[in-house]
Amino acid sequence: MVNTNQIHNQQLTIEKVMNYIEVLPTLKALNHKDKIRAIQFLANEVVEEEDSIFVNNQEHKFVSQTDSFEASRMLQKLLDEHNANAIT
Amino acid sequence: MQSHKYPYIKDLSDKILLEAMPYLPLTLELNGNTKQVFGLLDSGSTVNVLPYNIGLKLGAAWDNQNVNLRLTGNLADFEARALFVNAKIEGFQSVTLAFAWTKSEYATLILGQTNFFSLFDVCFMRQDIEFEIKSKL
Repeated sequence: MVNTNQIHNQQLTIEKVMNYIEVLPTLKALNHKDKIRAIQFLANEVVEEEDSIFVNNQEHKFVSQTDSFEASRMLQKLLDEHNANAIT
Repeated sequence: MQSHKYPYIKDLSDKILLEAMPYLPLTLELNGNTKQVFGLLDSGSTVNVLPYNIGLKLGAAWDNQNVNLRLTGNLADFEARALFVNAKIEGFQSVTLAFAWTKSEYATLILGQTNFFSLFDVCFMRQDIEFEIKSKL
């Protein structure tokens, strides 16, 4: 016979969110390599929570057009032509 | 010389930034169509950048713009074309801004060296969370 109380308690255990104090002994018991993994995991989690600015394992390109000199020169040339036409 | 101070802002109407940044409110105009926008003052950017959807809202037709531009960074994979737009900043006379109009929908509207910084001097006062622009005209 299925004990519904047991199932309910298991679900509660799974759904219960551990707090920092509860998880600390487990973290302390980790070996050096796993501590580094935990740091990396948490860092990624925090970044993802903060609007996914960075994506794991991807190259990140600048928003600022710091190197678009060719485009800049072309726009300036067009502006010069535009201004010259406005004068004549 | 006309000048005006603006606060750094977080609320850009369509999105909220994590930190206040120097975004300038301005009205863009093209062929009678107007759109109020916020432009990021980016002294490190070589060009002004206009996101694709804003160009469309101004009535610009992509196929009618025949000067292709090559952008870099996160916009390197998108086509870009030159587009001239009139811009009105409150308290200043209207100016013509030359934009690199990118096909990217998610680009930031950037006010860069060509040609916003040719028309206005900008002083950033980060500690006071404000910036000042002065017209060179």
